[in-house]
Amino acid sequence: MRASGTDRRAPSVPRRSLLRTWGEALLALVTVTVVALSAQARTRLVVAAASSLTEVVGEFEAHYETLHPEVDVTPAFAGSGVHRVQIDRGAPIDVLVFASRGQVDPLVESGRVRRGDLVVVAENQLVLVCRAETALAGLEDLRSRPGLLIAAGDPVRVPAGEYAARLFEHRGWSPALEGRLVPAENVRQVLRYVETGVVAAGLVYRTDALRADDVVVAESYGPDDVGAVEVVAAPLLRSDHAALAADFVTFLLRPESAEIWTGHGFALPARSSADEAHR
Amino acid sequence: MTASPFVLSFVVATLATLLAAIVGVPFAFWVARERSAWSRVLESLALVPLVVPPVVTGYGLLALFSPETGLGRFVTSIGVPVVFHWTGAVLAGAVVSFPLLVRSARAAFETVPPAQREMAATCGASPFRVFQTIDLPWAAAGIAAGCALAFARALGEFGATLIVAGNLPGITQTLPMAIYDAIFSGDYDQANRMVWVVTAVAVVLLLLADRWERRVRGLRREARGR
Repeated sequence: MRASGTDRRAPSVPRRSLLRTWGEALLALVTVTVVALSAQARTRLVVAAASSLTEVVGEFEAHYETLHPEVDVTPAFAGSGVHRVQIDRGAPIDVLVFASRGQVDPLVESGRVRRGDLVVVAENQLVLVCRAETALAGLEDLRSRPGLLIAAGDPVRVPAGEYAARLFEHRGWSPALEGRLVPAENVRQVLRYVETGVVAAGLVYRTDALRADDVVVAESYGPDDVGAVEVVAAPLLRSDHAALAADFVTFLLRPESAEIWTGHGFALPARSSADEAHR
Repeated sequence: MTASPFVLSFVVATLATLLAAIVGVPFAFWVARERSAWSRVLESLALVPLVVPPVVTGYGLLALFSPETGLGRFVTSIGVPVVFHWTGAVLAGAVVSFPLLVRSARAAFETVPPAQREMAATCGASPFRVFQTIDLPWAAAGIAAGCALAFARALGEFGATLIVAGNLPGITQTLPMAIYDAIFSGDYDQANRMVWVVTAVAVVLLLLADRWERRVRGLRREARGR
């Protein structure tokens, strides 16, 4: 009586043979992958890059690796805020490429980056985008149409949000106070909000606006409105590959790299900051 | 060498489930038997990753295993650097899925009729043998359900992994991170493909977990009716 009772519930997991087949297949996959991931012949140079730089950094990675086959450039993509925490906690990052100086300042203060090592590698522009059918003339037009929402990066941790906050301040308008500002985690998210019509307009970089098919640039902002929108790079002071890290930063400023930057819609930095790098 | 997000995700989720089970099953057994104030507090602590934002879990792991701490230097010296390494993704996955596994396994261990354990002990079985021959078979369905839930949770893990293991394509970029990148670089087709895979796997696992959980509920009813 009891024996049959136990029998009824004992084989509660799938049939043993099936479980074993799956288990063995999984074990093989795990072993192969772990072995593959452990085999690391080339020197790994980890480049922490802002999400808005995904494509251009990917191209630099390929170019640098053709020039230096012994180096494995490994980009780490995340918001600058995440990178800041990782760098502060000593994650093995060798080079940073951020979308604003503001994000680097705390790292200079905590001794992770030497201010003199920080170079402007390219320039970008803040633009207001909307869908073609929204037909916005600019920020003033948006302001005069109550009910229309605007998305921008969170100013505390998103560089594009920093620039957007400066623009609002300069124009003396606070969409946040009117409940019309939708903060986003990154520029790409702002773009998504605009594309999907969740918001009427968004503040993004020119380079991102160029990549999107469904949005148009309604207005562009110059240094007078928001200050210089600079892409900055620096080797990390505690990098295990300091010479290589410095070389990668210099590489971003070489004449042959200029084409890559402009090809992705970036402008080249003013001469003074480039000279600063070669000092 | 690099690994595609698909392969990496399945390997990471498997190892994370295994790690969670190795620690979680004995822990759940102890909690189910012990029932002291101590065990309650410890169990609550172990369940914390279920309720705090994954970002917090990730930050905690990063702070703990930072290469600038003693622990970080030690794990690096034994070849398990955790930070910016696939092992970090495994650890993050194991920590966030641990609560799900423990909850399921504990509930299952509680259905074991004390009479059977006592009988085995009276016949001279060692505590380990009792665990092996009475508790484990009784709780197998619950443990399996817990493992299925844990695997599904580890497969979808994003926040904690991003912070401790980073989003390094080919090295620590799991499916959820690849999906995130694909969405925000406008590659919606690629994103959709990956979303389908994750969703399909999750549905299968949740169905399995549900089936096994039913069995545990059945056992509990039976134990009560006794």
